[in-house]
Formats: sequence, C-alpha cells, structure tokens
Amino acid sequence: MANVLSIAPINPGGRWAPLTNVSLAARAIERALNRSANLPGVVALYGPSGYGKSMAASYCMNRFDGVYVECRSYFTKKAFVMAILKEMGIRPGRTLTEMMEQAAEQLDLSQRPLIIDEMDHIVDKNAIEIVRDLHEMSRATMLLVGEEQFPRKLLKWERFHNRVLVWQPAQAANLEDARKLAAFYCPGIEIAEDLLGRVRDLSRGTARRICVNLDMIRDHCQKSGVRKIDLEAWGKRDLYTGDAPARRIA
Amino acid sequence: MRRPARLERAGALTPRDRIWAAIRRFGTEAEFSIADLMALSEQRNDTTLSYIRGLEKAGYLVAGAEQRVPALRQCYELRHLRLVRDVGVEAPRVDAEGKTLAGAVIQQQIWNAVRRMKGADFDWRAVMQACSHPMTMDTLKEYLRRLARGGYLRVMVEARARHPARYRFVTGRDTGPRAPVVDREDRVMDGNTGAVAYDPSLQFQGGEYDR
Repeated sequence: MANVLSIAPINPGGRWAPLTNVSLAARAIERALNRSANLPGVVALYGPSGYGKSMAASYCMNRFDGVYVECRSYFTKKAFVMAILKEMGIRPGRTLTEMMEQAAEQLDLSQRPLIIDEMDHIVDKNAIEIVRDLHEMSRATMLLVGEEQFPRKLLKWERFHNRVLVWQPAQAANLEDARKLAAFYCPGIEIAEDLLGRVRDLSRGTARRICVNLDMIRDHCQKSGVRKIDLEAWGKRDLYTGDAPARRIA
Repeated sequence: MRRPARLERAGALTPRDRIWAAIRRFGTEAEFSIADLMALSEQRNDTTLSYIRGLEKAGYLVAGAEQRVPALRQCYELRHLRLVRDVGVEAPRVDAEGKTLAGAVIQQQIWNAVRRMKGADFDWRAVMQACSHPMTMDTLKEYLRRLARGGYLRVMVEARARHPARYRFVTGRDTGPRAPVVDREDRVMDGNTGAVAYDPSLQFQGGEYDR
C-alpha cells in the first residue's frame, strides 16, 4: 500500500468557510434586514460573469430563507410577477394588479427577502419600475444580482437608483478563497502557496475554474501517492484556464 | 387601508397546509376553537393537535382570552386560540415542541441549491457550498441519490473511486419551490404536485423516472 493514498475523509461537518463573495452578499443582506425603518432595503450585487454571484445568491436564499427568482430575457412584467408567485407557492390572481398585491402582501407578512438574479433582463426590458413598486408596497429587503454594467444601467432610473442601500461589487476569487476551496476539494493534501497562486492566476478569479484545477491536483496526488505538492512538483502539467485551445499547426 | 390580497397556496396541499390556511382564515383578530379548525381544515384531531401545539410553542398562536368552563379544560377541542404571527401562505415548519424541523430544512436547502445550478453539471460539493444549514456529507449525497431516482436529477457521471457522482438538474422536472419528500418507506414524493416520483416497493423498477 506504499503508493496508494487512502481517500481522506471529506466531511467538513456540514459547515465550511464561505468564500469572499458569499460573505459580502450575506453581510449586505444582513445590513438591509437590520436597517432603520425609513431606509430603503435594496441591495445590489454586481460583477462579471463567473465571479460566483449566483452561488452567493443561492447561499443567501438558504441562509435568510429568501424567495429566489431568476429573470429570463423573455420575461414580461406579468411573467416576472408570476415567477415570483410561483416561488412563493401562491396561486396567481387574474390581473397584474391582483398578482402584485399578492406578492407584496406575502413579502410583507413573511418578511422573507426577495432575491432577483439576472436583473439585467428586467432593466433592459424597462420593467424596473415594477421592482420599485414591489419594494414600495412591501418594504421587503431585496437582493438584486446583475452583471458588471448593472449600476450604470440603473442610473437611467434615478428614482430606483436612490433606493439602493448597499452597492456590493463582487470580487474576483483571491488566494484566501483558493485556500478555502483547497481545504474542501483536496482534503488531506497540502498544496504549496506557489501552486495555489498559479491556480488562482490561471483561473482569473473564477471559483469554478479553481475547483476544476483543484480536482486535477487532487487526482494527481492520489494517483501518485503524495500528500504535498508545490509548483515545482506539478511541473509542466496542464492547468485549466477555461480558454479554448489555440490552433495547432502541424 | 387596502383590502388584504387573497393568498392561496398553489399545488398539492399537505394536512399542515390545510390547517394553516384554516387558521389564516380566522385572521389575527378572531379567536377560534380547535374543533372549528378541525372542521374547517377537514383534518383529524391527532394531526391538528400536534401541529397546533407546535405553533403555540413557537409563538404563532396564543391562548384566547375566552376559555370554556374549568370542567371542560381537558377537552382540547374546545380550547380557544388566536393567531398572532401571520407569516403568509407558507405553513411554519415546526414539530410538536415548536422547534424547526431540521430534516425538512436540510432537504429544502438542497432542493433550493440544485434548482439554482442553471443547467450546469455539479457534484455534492457545489451543493454544499450553497447550503447554510449544517449537514453531513452522507445526508447530502443520500438526498441527491433520491432526487436522481425520482427523476429530478440526471446522473451525468457515475461515482467512481476518488470522483463523486456528477448530476444535472432536469429542468422539465422543476415542479416548484417545495422540496421532494423522502418518506420512511423510501418513497420520493413531489412536494409541489403530491405525486409519487419513486416507489421502491413497486415491482416495476424500469419506470420513467427510475435511473
């Protein structure tokens, strides 16, 4: 059994250290939930694709028992409110007015935060006023998740822009995040700082790519029976960057 | 003040949904007896009593001001109660002691997480990252396997040595926000439609959703 590494028990006991963006989003929602009554309760989380915004939003949904709705490019105002009602498990009324009242009342009674992912679709469709109405009617805490340009797009709707309590830009995954992921994805394996740094750089701040690379490192370590690895030992082996391969000329 | 909107639960109703809906119909002003509630929700007393007890302990209900004569105190059905904490259509998930049902919360969190995977392949570790309630790896993996059996997840890569199974959420089976329930007989029941998605006792195991 010299060369075979036994599989280390992977059980973080159900809890594990959340990544930077997850903590940032959770903290922002907490701030909005504990705001004083006269303040608006809208939190905006924005950043480039791949930064783990949706993952952070998913976590927040579970942590704060939120109502999560994901917008689609084809959503009309009515479809948007119907999607919210579906997530609340409510039989929708017949008219848009009725549905808005239902959604607002349920938000108000349950005090659950509303999480809206892919907000850009709503902004592009000029349906942002409906979100503002919902906020006015229910005074519910809302987390709006959008792409990098989201705050700029919102500028057009000054009345809405003013209602954002916290603007939270998503951060690129840092070395600390890589370390947390390594503890989770490569339990029992010590990955040197230099290799972890390289993984982070090649992954360009995307947690998902870091995970793919960590799986590759773990696989290699377990096959070759090592518990410690650094950049030198990793050598010229490939790491995943997410780029399409360059054309090869024979 | 505007008239409250009509909030009605969509989809299949559990006994608890019916009891909670009946309680809400009395509003926060009126008192009601447990007998009223049983009649209105059409539920048996054992279901009703344990749930009512939990709701009372958890602070959703309080004893009404007007109680019956002492001789009838033992008669639970005539106790009067009043709703003080209306949280909307969602029936509070409490046990008879008023504590939150942890098992239900865990299944709900896993279900929430897998529904948000946006068509991407994932394994249990990605799901755990999106859950806030403490849970063991085994509970999580077991529930994912049940979801796969119920046809909610497609197994993209079978588990093998050192590699966890990879799944994909079947969007056509996104029946709604409520998590599928695994009961004591290992059946998987859809929380939204009430349909049985997987039943191990059936001979026919090559069913539509059996993968």
